[in-house]
Amino acid sequence: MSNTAPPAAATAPILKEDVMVLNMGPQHPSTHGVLRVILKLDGEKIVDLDCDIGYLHRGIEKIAENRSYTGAAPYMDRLDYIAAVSNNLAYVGAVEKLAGVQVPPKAQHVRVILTELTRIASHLLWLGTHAMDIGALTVFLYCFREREDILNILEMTTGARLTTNAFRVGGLAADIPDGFVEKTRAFCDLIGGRIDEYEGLLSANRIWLSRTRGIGVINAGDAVAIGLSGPSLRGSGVKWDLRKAQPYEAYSKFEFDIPTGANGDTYDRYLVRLEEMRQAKRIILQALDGMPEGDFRAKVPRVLKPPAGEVYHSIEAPKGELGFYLVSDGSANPYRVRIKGPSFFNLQAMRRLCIGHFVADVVAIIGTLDIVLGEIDR
Amino acid sequence: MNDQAPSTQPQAPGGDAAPAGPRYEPLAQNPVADGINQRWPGGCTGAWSFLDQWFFDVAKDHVAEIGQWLRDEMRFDMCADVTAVHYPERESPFTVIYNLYSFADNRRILLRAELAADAAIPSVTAVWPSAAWPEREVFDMFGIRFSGHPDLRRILMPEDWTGHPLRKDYDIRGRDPQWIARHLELRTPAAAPEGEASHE
Repeated sequence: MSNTAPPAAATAPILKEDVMVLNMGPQHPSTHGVLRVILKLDGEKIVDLDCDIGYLHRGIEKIAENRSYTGAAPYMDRLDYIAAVSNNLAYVGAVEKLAGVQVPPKAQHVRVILTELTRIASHLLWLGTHAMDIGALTVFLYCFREREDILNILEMTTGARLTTNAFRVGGLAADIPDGFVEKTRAFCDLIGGRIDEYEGLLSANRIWLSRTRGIGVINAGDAVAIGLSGPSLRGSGVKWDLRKAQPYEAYSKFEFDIPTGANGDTYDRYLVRLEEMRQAKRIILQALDGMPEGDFRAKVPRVLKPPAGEVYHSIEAPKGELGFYLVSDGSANPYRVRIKGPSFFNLQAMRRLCIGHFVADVVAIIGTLDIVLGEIDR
Repeated sequence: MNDQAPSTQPQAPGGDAAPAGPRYEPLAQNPVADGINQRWPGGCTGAWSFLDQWFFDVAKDHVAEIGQWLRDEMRFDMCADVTAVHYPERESPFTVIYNLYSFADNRRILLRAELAADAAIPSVTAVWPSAAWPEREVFDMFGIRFSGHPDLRRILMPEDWTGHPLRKDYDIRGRDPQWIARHLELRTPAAAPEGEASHE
């Protein structure tokens, strides 16, 4: 791209060509947490950058080795705290796969509903902050209004709004409360029109278009090579979603589309996430309609000792492929817990996306990658 | 390597028999294992199926070349993760695990490579650029060196930290008192209260 042109200094050796190093973060409003980016600039253009991460490292993988399988679950909510339900589902799913636990159909449906609600909540927070970073302040308030409804549903179901610890090995902590179905339906009736409103504010907005079109372009081959997943990968046209490719829970029962982009730029990734919210609503309505009767939890021993072995289980979290690699030695504590979070790999692509762009675009690119530092640093 | 139990099936501590459960079944006539052994005799010492997952034990010296072949010929386009496990009681105490995914076949495989305590393993970043950060993390957390890695630095822990936290001999409350004294000025190592474990 632009950094292929020879610098002006080549023809005018008297002028000293200098690269300026600019430190961004770790406390910067657009880094969504404690991310430090060291930018190397030629004027306003980015020549190189390095991400400094680890400020939020709490050693969750180490802590999990020192807890029981069930005792480690609440820590997983603290990875991607924007979508705690998804983290919980991936971890619990990995333990169930290793221990051979069958989850009752009702619990599977409720799990799908809650994780899809979380997907909408995560995308809403992404949209609000992403738009605010670029200068569209109104969208933020709209998005948080709708997100509040989801948090209320989570609160009435799990007792918590953020770190929900929604699931248990074998199913749910408790049966769904009275009014859950009605409230969720009411939310689904509402959200479709609201997404249209956001689109009305942004999709044809000239400022939005000039800040997102052609910014942070990555083609499908490069996106796969650098390890992007989730909407960031689908924005480049790779039609890959773990809910379809390797269905877990009850996803194979539901009909939904996988939106993809064509240009792999910030605007396409925005469109993909908007459409994913609509598809999530479709899934929730199907799961509500087909809600089976029966138990909400399988019988699981109080002290869980999965057989020795190892397992990798991954789900399509709002930000991409979230996987857990567990090693069991047959005891009550996991021998090793490896968390493969999507944000870690998506952030790795940032250098590739930013080089050649302006400083102001860094903010747009951090936003479009939809990272959460709690999951990157673990 | 032994033919009986796969090397990474961990032994229960104290010699207790592991509870009955799914077993690692050998994979016969597997294209991945056969292909590796054809090109690098002895390159794949075990091929296992466990809970519908495929595991391959590979020779660590050939990891990069095997990766190149897997990507180009077998279409494992994505390296989803690189991680490691520490088994201090084993002769080769570290196992590096590569999590590979093929979009064409919708198939995930896990490669396992064992290495000795002081050994280095070839980096696969030239094959899959996505391996750059997870390899840095394995270096940071386990102290495993990846030869040929373009930028092998710590990633999560501070650069001047000593010790590798995910090793099994690193205490859960382990820390680097010198680092803390140097940077935080909270307390000197000598003044650390009783019972607080410190590492090194």
